[in-house]
Amino acid sequence: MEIELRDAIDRRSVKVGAEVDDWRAAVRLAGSLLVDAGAAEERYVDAMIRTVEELGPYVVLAPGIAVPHARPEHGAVQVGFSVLVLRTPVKFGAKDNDPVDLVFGFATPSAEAHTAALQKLATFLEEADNVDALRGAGTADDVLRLLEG
Amino acid sequence: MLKVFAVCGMGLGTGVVLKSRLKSALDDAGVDYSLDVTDASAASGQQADLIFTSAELADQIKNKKARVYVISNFTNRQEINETVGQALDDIDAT
Repeated sequence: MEIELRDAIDRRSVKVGAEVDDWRAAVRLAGSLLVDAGAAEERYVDAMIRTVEELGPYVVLAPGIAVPHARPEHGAVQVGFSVLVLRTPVKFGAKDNDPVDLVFGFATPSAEAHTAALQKLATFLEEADNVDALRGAGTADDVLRLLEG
Repeated sequence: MLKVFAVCGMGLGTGVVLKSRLKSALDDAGVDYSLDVTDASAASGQQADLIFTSAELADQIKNKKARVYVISNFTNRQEINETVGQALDDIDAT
């Protein structure tokens, strides 16, 4: 069953204007927003951080944009995306795309359950206007409205 | 047939995004290909012609035969199309 992007983002998983010290704190927050919405267990958050430590900052897939995640067996409960808009960008150590101010954490119980929603997100992020609008969002509702379309 | 890998950490995030974009670019180019998502260690050990990945993972790929191409921005279709075009030109030239 394919899940729509908008349906995969719980309102509790959106945070705008957060201030964090470093990439670990950013990933931890993006992960805890998934836990808040019931999409992942606590241990999933640690696995998200471990993934970046072990495999490097490849999750920074575009300038300023990261999609941290872990494996289904690391405590994913259901398909969920979190949206974190940082007030001050943080460096992940990425070669081309640092610093990061948009963090989309996600959890998925299988290798396929989330792909339609992830593709939708990636297509949304292809438009510079959309990315600018996200960065300028004042509230969580603004973010949800943008991703509605 | 060209054997193409999209390499990412786990095959769940960036690899999923990269695969769909590579598929569009390769379809547009009209070449005969197979395309799979894999991780860096699997990509190192298997036979392939072209490998696309991020700058961070490119260093971890030790494939004797395949050419490895780096994509910086996975949301930039133009960069992906141009990189695929370059890769196909390179193959033709050999």
